[in-house]
Amino acid sequence: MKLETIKSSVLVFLILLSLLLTLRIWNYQPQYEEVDSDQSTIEAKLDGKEETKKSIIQPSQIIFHDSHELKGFKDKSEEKNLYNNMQDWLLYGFDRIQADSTQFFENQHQLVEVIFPTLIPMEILPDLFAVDSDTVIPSTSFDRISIMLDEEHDSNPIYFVNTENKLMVSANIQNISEIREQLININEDNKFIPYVEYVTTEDKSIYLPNEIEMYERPFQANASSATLLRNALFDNPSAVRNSKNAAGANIFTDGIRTMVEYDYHIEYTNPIFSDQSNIEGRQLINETLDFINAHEGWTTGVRDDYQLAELDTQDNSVLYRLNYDGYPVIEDSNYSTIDITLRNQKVNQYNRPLIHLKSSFAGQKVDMRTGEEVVDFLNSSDYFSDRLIEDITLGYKMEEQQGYIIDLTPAWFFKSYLGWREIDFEQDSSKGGDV
Amino acid sequence: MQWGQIKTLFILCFLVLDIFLLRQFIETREPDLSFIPETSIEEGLKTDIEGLDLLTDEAMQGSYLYGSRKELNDEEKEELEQFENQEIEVLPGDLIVSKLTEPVSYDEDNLQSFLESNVLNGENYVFWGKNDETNTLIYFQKIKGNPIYYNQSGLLLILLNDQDEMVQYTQTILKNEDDQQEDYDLFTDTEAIMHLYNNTNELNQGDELTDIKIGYHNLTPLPNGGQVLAPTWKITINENRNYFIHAIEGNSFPRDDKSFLEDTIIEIRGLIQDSNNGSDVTKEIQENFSEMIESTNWSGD
Repeated sequence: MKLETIKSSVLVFLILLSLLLTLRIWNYQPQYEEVDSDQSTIEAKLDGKEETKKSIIQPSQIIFHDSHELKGFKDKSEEKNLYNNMQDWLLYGFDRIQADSTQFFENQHQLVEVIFPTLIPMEILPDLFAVDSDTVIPSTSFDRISIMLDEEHDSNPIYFVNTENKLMVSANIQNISEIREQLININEDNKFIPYVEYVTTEDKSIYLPNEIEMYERPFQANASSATLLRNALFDNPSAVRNSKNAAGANIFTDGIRTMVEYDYHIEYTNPIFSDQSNIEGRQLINETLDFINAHEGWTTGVRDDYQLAELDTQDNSVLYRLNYDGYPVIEDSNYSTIDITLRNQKVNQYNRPLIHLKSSFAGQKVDMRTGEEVVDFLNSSDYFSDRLIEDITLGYKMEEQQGYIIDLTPAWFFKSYLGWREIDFEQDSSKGGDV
Repeated sequence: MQWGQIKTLFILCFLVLDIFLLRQFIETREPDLSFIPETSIEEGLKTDIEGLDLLTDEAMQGSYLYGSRKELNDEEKEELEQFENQEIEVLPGDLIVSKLTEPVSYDEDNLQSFLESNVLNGENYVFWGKNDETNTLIYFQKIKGNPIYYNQSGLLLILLNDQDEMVQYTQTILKNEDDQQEDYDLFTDTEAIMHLYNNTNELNQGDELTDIKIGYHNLTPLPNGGQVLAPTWKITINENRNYFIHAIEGNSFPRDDKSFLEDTIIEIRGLIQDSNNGSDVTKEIQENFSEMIESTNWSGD
């Protein structure tokens, strides 16, 4: 009997010990010495949004081809909704098509065309859409997606088109008949405005809205502090010194890197002397996104956001452009663009605005030329007849009033090898176009 | 089975469990930190590169230096006037240009003593090298005993004539400002060469490490002439190739005499032109520099 009591107490003791040890192991946090604790207290965030590949890569237009009619949403936010729905489609069975895209689409009149501002590498597709994980995706790039609405295209109803080299990749969509019905229903709703087509010398179709309702918008702009950027961009911010140059710009340096602070933007350079290695497009977007997210650099509000506008895998550079209400904001001084160049996976150049749009005042409606008038003008103009137009868009130009008041004024722009310029209808030439 | 036997079984089970838990607990308390490698010379580096016995792998602390162009005070200007056999002008930007009235023969052994008695703060300059194409001797200024590599504001440039005699020189002096700087752990000399070996393709099999020294270096001064100078390792390979490794961040910078001299000579010539100083000394130097700029093949090797 006595032995049994001892055994009972030993058992109770062992059970309690096991419970105690289990709890200790679960709750134990090793005490590592904190590395660089003084660095983490330095404020180095711009307090902007966080962006993802999904949110930063957005189409600039979605066009419905209905017989020979061209239509687009009256409200740009509808475009965004539709594209968000598209991102849930499950894609599979990718296949390169041995046909020239211009000829192929010449006879297709029932389709939805999703247009992106720049060529996007196909390998980024799984980040944007639901893609079957076993699927092999051809390594090309695309700037347009066409979804065929007639039933003869049941087997591969979606095409990824590269308008530069005219190559195409087709794919299947799960539940295509349902999706097609949805798209046809949207098409029958009356939320559309007519579009007209302009064909470039390179046989690329550009679509221009023919009914336009746009407003001039004055903004109060806020400027991020250059000190925060200094803290974000220099490894040892406390070592950085600054002084003004003759033009009044403030130069920051740690002896190696430099950051030039202008009134409305900064230019940062980090010289890297190791050999250049090429970075593929997907990684380029990943790295630049991570870099900007790390200092919360997407300083935008509700109606404006940054979008991928150019991707140059030759130069390892990426350009993100400010969009307002879905229209690009265009000027040439890095007031509305974030421009990053990488070299060996490190940021070599980073030019970005310091300002961000704050409150908008009520603006006036601007009487804009219709798409048709623009096409007629371009076709009849001597200046443009021999000019290689790569793209045309409706957008906002950014003009500085005084004291951080910024005007966004709607305007037509064309893109040539020199970049985007405003189309000047008054003279038969374009502002600043002749260089 | 009897309750007593069941208890014995439970006791055995919990004993085993407790032993296991105890072991786990002790392991988590003493985390295994062996994944942090100690700095040791990598095998690849050892077999490829000779002369590694120069390395000390000594831990060091260092800080950034802040400098600016030194403005000469009256005493120093007086000192300049005392030098014999020299015609000296101090140009705006505190650039000292001097002509040796009688050329002095250039002899490696007497150079240091020549500097000490014939150049302002001459003991603070260390011989960097002779550039044959422009026929000049390059001296870098030292601050706190360490050379400042390739800095136009801390430079002594001695021009030689065809008989290898010193005829003219230009000098700039860098002044060290605020001394209380945050100290950083610097890369050791071993870590510096490992960076060069691992992150660039510059080191080849059979190369020999001939010198490794800490100094200061930067790429760009500020518009007001201020300089942020980073502690930097200079690594010399085969006595003729130099590499510069940032001792706080580890990045490497290729620098060479030629492009530095080109920039510097053009800069100094510009300063001389802007100064509108009509004296013979400056005219002569300006002519020499112009000739150098035109006659030297700057691009090729």
